[in-house]
Amino acid sequence: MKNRLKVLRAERDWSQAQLADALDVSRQTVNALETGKFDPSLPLAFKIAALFECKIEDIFLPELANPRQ
Amino acid sequence: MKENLQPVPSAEMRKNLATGAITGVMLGAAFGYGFGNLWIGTIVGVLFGLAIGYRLGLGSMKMRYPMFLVRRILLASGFCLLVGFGYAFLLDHGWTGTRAILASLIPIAAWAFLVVMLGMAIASLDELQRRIQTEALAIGFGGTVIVCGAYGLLGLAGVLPALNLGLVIFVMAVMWFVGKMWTMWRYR
Repeated sequence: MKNRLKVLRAERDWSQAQLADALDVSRQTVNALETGKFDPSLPLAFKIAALFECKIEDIFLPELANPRQ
Repeated sequence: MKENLQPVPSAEMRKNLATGAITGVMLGAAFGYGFGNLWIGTIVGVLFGLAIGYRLGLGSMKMRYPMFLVRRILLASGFCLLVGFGYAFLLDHGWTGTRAILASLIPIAAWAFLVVMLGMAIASLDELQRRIQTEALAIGFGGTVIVCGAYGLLGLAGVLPALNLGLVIFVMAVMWFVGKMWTMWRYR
């Protein structure tokens, strides 16, 4: 799953540590979310959406299916 | 990128230092007794414990364990080692029969305390860190089965001496550490 977390964070000029504090997670978790190595649980996704005041689907986007499949 | 170390409040630092010192006494006494000089072992243990307590007070650990749980884990670890030696001490000093069975069960209480504290610490982590720990435990468990299974089979064939509990715990610790490093690298 892709996400716009890094863009949204940069728009607000927040550091990863500040975002981690706001979400009550570790900076490692924020980094893994931004790089797409880790998909959040639904409660955390809702928390992120509430923090950025937008819908979950505005932040998290499904990977496009391989057209050859 | 190196993170800035933020000192914790002085009350927390005092608790960390006290916990480190108490754990150090337990570690040092156990090692001192094991290697023949109780006093030197205790003094070195206290200094070592104070150093650990001071480092804890600097904060900024990768995992977000609550400080009070880290202190309890330290105490439980020291207690485990102490009762491990205490059990050997009692058996060395003539505890036999029913008393030997009771002495043999003492370390289990300390292990149970440590396991509960570790469980609480893992439960307090965020979801990625819980996943890292869970995967590390799975790798640790699988790795231990493979290594100890191979060792046991070689033991049966007479190539290696019989497997003992100390080796199993050591392999488990090493495999868990390897698993944790691997999963942390994956989610870096």
